[in-house]
Amino acid sequence: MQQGKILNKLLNLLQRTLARFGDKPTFSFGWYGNILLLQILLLLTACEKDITIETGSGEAQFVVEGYIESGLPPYLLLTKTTEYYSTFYLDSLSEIFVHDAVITVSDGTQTIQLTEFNIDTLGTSISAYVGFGMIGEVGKTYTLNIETEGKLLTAITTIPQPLPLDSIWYQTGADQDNDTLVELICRFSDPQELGQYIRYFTSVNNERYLPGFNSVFEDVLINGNTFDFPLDRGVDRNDTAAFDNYGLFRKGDTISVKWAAIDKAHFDFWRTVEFELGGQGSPFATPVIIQSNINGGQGIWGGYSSTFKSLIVPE
Amino acid sequence: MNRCFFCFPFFLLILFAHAPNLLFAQDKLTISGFVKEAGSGESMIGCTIGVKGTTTGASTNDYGFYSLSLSPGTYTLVFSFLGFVQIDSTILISQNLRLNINMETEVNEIQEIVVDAADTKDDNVRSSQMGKFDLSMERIKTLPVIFGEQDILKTIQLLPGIQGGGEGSSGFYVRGGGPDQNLILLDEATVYNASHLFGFFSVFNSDAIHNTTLYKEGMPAEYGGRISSVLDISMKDGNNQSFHGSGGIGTIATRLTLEGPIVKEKSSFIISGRRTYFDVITRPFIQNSDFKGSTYYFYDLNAKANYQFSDNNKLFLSGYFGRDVFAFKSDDINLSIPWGNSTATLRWNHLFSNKLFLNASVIYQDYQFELGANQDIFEFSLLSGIRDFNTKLDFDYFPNVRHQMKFGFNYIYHIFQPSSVSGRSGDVEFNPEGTQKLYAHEAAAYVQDQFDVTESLQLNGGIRISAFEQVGPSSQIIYDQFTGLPEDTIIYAPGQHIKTYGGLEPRLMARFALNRTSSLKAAVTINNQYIHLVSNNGTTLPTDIWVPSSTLVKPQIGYQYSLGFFKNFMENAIETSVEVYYKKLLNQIEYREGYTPTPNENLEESFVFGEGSSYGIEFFVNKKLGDFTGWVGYTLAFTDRVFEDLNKGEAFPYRYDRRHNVSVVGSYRLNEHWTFGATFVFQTGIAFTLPDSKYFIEGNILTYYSGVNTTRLPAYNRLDIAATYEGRKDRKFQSGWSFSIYNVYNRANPYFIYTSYDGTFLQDEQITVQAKQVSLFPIIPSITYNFKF
Repeated sequence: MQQGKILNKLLNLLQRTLARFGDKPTFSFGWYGNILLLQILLLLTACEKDITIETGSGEAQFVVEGYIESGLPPYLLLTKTTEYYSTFYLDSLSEIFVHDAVITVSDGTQTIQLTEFNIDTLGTSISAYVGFGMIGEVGKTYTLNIETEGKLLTAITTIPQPLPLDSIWYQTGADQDNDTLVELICRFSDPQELGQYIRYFTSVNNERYLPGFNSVFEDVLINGNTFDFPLDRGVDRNDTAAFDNYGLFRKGDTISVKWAAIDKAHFDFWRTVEFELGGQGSPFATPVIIQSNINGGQGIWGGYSSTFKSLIVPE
Repeated sequence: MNRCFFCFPFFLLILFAHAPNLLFAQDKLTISGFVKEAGSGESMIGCTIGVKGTTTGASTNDYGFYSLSLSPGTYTLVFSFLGFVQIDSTILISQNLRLNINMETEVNEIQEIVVDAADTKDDNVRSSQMGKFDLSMERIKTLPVIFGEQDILKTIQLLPGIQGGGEGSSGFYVRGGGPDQNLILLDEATVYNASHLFGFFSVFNSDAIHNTTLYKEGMPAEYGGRISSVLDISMKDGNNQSFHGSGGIGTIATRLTLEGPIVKEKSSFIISGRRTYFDVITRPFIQNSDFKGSTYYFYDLNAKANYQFSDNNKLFLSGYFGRDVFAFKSDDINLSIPWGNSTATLRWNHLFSNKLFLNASVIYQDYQFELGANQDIFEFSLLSGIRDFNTKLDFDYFPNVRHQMKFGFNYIYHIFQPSSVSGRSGDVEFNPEGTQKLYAHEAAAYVQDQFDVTESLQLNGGIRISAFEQVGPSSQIIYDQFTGLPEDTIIYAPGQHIKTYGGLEPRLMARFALNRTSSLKAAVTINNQYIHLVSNNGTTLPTDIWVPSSTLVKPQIGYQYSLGFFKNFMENAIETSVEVYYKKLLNQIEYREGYTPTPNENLEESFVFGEGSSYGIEFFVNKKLGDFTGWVGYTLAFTDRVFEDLNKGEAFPYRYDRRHNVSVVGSYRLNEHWTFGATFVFQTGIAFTLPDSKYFIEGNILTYYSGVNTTRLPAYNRLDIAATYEGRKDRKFQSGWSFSIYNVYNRANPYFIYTSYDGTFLQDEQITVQAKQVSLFPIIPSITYNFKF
């Protein structure tokens, strides 16, 4: 079955088409024709200006970013939402972190409490909670409990069975103008059972693992098939250079792929997050509400069932 | 489907064929005939026929036919239609009579209102019909327009209770209803996507349009399938006396229409085309820009022919074909996105007797959106659309002077093609499951009667019985209630019953005349709608998808109640009205919270269902006669939606919940050459969902929303002006110019608002989140040259 490959190829094709119009890769099925047309139209006639909008003085929400990965202890960042239309300075980053929360993780038999650590990074101080007494195991369900400032937040996630890639290799000739670029191709065999979800990351030359621009997949389309598809290089969206040669690797790179099975709620979170980050929605549409699995707050409590593959592209 | 259901119309037919003998006295004689425009032979729709010295009368139907029953004697019949010379015809009625009338345009054209709130001089007060507007293209030509393109859909947005979808949009929203709740008909064929580009232009080429009727309430029972309004547009028949042409060269498009007799007085044709040419003009300029290789244009083609076999039989064949095409071509990539409608209508008008008129129609319509792309060996295409095969029988029956009845039958076979993706890579093709077409039958029978109960009380009642059945072939996936994953698939064979819905749709209107110049009217309407447009956009876009009612998707039901006071001043030169309405909309569809479009999804699983309600008051003052004409409309309106699964189950404002709506339209005729027009609109801004606060995940800024449509864009207001110059009318070749200025005071009206993020943590150590307002059209002058011969 070539569906995945074709869809992915098309995605690249459209992204590159759109990139010609001087924008980041923005893509979504259904709307791309409109976005394309709209961009042209707006560039021809539209004008824009800054406006001031009063946002609601709603109560700040707690935001959880917590993960438990197979073979690793659970860890978590606990922050708060801040005023929307404003300038956010790096040195004020520490202010959004919530301290002294009582956080526990339970796997059904064992319950541990996470410990808070303060980390100085990027010239500011952040805090993280880590639970060294527990290691993520495949097939287990993990319940998160957070008590802070008189509020209770709860969430549940699982570490599903791993779904490793069959193999990875590279292909040259991905960019006609630059023969130093290569495309990473993966082969994946999807199990017969429907309802598999994946999030992937790539790392180049043993640097940090970065999620793909569209980092999550579901198997509704490709269920039960083995297929080959190109995999885009992961990006740091805060790095303005990240979109140069979008998706491609270089000759000489050591490429590692982290291919993690996740559960449905975890998938829905990233699906909606990446839709928002991609700026893919029509400007007239009701915005997509990010699907959080945190009861009483925002964010994600996510389990990863990770598998890895590496290769070295010769010079 | 129930067999009895199909028998119903035939039962009606039998009943009414004998009704005159059963119900009404036989001492009346009937005078009937067709009213036509002298010089062109076009049918006069809605021409009134009064009997001098009485309050009785009749009006012509959609094909110019009238029928009046009177006791033997001598009468003076008065044929009148605005802008035409009134004809007083004194006749002795001693037997049934056929009287065909040709009406001449008034030589010293009385400058008249661009829109008649009713079809005749005092219909505003006299008819029991509420919420009906007739527009003739000739009459809207003096109004200012954007890019010089006359547009019927933009003119109707200036009427109270009707709103546009946004800057320059030809999409419209009637009394808080959605865009799919308007039945838009072109020569009886449903037009599913009535706009070009992003709705900036409608598909209706003004040169080919004869008459437009809009109902925002009290939709007559002959129309069905939509719950908010009916826009019935008829194409010109073509001049059956002599050959003529007309056309124009405008800022963005050029038009040409040719018409003439095939057999003089018996048969005629009209063919009309329009194409934009900004692709041609801009090509040299974009050669070296990022837009190199991209093209956009649209075109419309209308054609119609008719043949009159005898006084009692006439055949019409008409069609429309239009496409928008966007294409992009570079060394390695080919992208082409065409979309548009095609319609074809074959009609037969037959007079069974001087009291019973039949129109039988066979109609085909097709709307398609297509996207094709290829690069190297990869090909990809996306298709969506809807196709209908439609037949109708409509009878007009005039039993006596106090009754005007209509009854008929309608059957439609729908084929839906929801967005489906397919592709190929070299020799390998893929056509994912779930990209199946959907099929449905829709049928209805109706009867309605307009009844003058007393001199002051007129009732207009109707009932429509409708039914809808989704049939196979189809495979329906059953989802697990908890995991949301497909569990089982039910396969339906071709034609196999899947789900049936049906219902009674009654409507009743009453007019109570207070005196000769004022009346009270009330209306109750219940409508069912079995097909739905699903849009995530808040504006209509070509990719929007039509879906049928199904096991999961229930028919929309609309209830509307309204009450109005109508009064005319200065011998009907000024019409005024105040109307209040309340509307309830059931089974409304929205996308689920957190919905993101994916290819070949099972759409129905992405829907959630809720209710809408809407109420308001509308004021309308309309000056119809004199050198200065125009109207002022003001609407105060409220509309919201309640969905269990959206906004935590709390009511939220509809996107087009505009509190205040003001429109002022004026036209002044200076002399036989120059006419000036102006329009002004003021509207409360549309509702939108405002970000509440932001947070960080993986170092990215994300948005938290506390509710749906929590705030509003700044108010919209705009003034447009126009001047029209007409050359000498006594020449064979006549020409003129139209000058328009859109958005005279260059107001930067909000088109949409987006958020911009400036800076990054890594490089700038700060990120600024700023709201930006995008405005579309600044001041835009345009000029159009028009000619006719």
